[in-house]
Amino acid sequence: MPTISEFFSAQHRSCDALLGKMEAAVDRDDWQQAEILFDQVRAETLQHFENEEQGLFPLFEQATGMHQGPTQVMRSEHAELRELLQSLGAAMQAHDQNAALGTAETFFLFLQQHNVKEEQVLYPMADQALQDSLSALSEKVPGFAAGS
Amino acid sequence: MNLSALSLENAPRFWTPLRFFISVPVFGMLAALILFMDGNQLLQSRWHPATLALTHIFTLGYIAMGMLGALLQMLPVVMGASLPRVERSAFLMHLLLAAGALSLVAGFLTDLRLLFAAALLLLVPVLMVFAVAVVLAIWRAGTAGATARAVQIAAVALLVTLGLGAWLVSGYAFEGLQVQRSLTDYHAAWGIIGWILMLIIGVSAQVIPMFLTTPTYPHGFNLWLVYLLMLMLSAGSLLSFAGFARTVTVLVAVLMISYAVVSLYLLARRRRKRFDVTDRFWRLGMLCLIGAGGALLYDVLGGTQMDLDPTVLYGLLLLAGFAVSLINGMLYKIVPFLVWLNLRMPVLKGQVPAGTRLYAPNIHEVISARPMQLQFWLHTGSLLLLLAALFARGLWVYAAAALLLLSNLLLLINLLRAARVYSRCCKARNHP
Ligand SMILES: [Fe+2]
Ligand SMILES: [Fe+2]
Repeated sequence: MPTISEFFSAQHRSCDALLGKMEAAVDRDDWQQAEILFDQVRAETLQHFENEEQGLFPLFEQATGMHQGPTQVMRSEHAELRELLQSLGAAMQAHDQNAALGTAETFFLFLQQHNVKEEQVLYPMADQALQDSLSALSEKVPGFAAGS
Repeated sequence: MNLSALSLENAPRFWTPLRFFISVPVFGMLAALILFMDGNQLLQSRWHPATLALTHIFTLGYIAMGMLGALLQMLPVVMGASLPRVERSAFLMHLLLAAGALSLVAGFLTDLRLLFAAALLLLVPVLMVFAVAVVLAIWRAGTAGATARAVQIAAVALLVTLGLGAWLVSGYAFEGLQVQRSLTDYHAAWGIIGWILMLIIGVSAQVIPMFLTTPTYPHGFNLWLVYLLMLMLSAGSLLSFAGFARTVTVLVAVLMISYAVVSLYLLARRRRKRFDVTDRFWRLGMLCLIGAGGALLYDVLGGTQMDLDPTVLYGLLLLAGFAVSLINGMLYKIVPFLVWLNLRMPVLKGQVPAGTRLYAPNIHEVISARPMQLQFWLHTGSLLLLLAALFARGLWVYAAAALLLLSNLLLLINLLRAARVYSRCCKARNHP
């Protein structure tokens, strides 16, 4: 089994890469490809948020007793990111290049500052606190046990 | 560590870092004016008073101003290290730093004792309090990351720089006080290689992969560079025997070049390939760092004597080239993001009912791409002309000053536009 840091950080990198490809497609006006890639970005991002909100965060709260702390901050940032994904989807549907690239950049930057906090602080703490709960985590997080 | 500090709610309000950022190009314009005034004389020797004035406009007015603004924003959000009473202290810090930089520069230009004394009185408290606050805040937060550690070490170097600088300025301010001018070398080394370079190396470990989706630096690379530079600086300052200074200089040049080469390698491997003006600025800055390292090696390893003061060339490449380019590029990432973030803050803080629509322009709408690109070319042009002026003399320096002025004017306009987008949106909300 991978560590929590490794597994969840790898998902961040994978979303970054997809978003990069999507931007490139929008840039060259290849909307068909761009929409396919956007669907993947959205699916991967939302799945990752599910993994955290349904799997990682509750176990973290249980193990540390911190219910109002970092996980709450992360949840409210997820909400903002979901809203940005929606605006991005609307711009993609309208084939509005400027709005799509601008919203993608906004989504990306906000996502990065969110991910940094998780990777620098939350995941390392979770690695410490959840050493004995990894099997419980793998029940909630698809692919975790396989490490992919 | 104090995890709740990670919340964006602990980020300072919009105008707190903005005051610092908007002052940056104002000092850039002042630098251009000094170049106009003293022209070629100024590039001949680093001991020329106008050269000292120009150097400190860049280091205090431009570079320290930009770095303090960025650190005030970054420490609480990214490192969970909150500074006590950040709003009010930042307001005061900005005022003291700006006034102190102006007094020092005016002191060099007029040689009035009173101005040097004022500079001491203004700059020593603000920079000392800042450096100590940064060291303590990170220490208290217990952040273990490489960036936090590097920032702490850079802050220590800032304290050394400040101590030496204050002693040197005292020599100008107080009659009868004998100060060894040879200390200037140490002051410059601790300021440029210590505070500026180490801080950039540390912060870039986090910021370059994050903002520009590059692969990460090799594990531990940045922190080791910082440790080694700190070792070189300390050894170079405390020990002196034949040939030692040469060895230290060669090693420092090699470290500089390796950092720049690795950074360029990463920037060439961005996962997002779209044109990004910050990426251009940072590449240019890294090229200048390679140039500075190369010039250092050339000089130390006995290249044919150049017909110029080599320290002026290093200063130009490291300050106006490397540090200024990086800060300029950073401003174009951070300011549009802050506009957007602060406009969304009521939602993020849960101060408005769920589901409320709250308009915020996307990041590309805050500053448009064209004027940022134009400013990049003006900046690049001013650097090339400054180099030309250094080697060829003649009228080049006035052309360089003109481009430097235009470049900073456009940077100021771009930043003010961003600020206007923010205040217009706020007004529209209050009076719908
Ligand atoms: Fe998350
Ligand atoms: Fe995450």
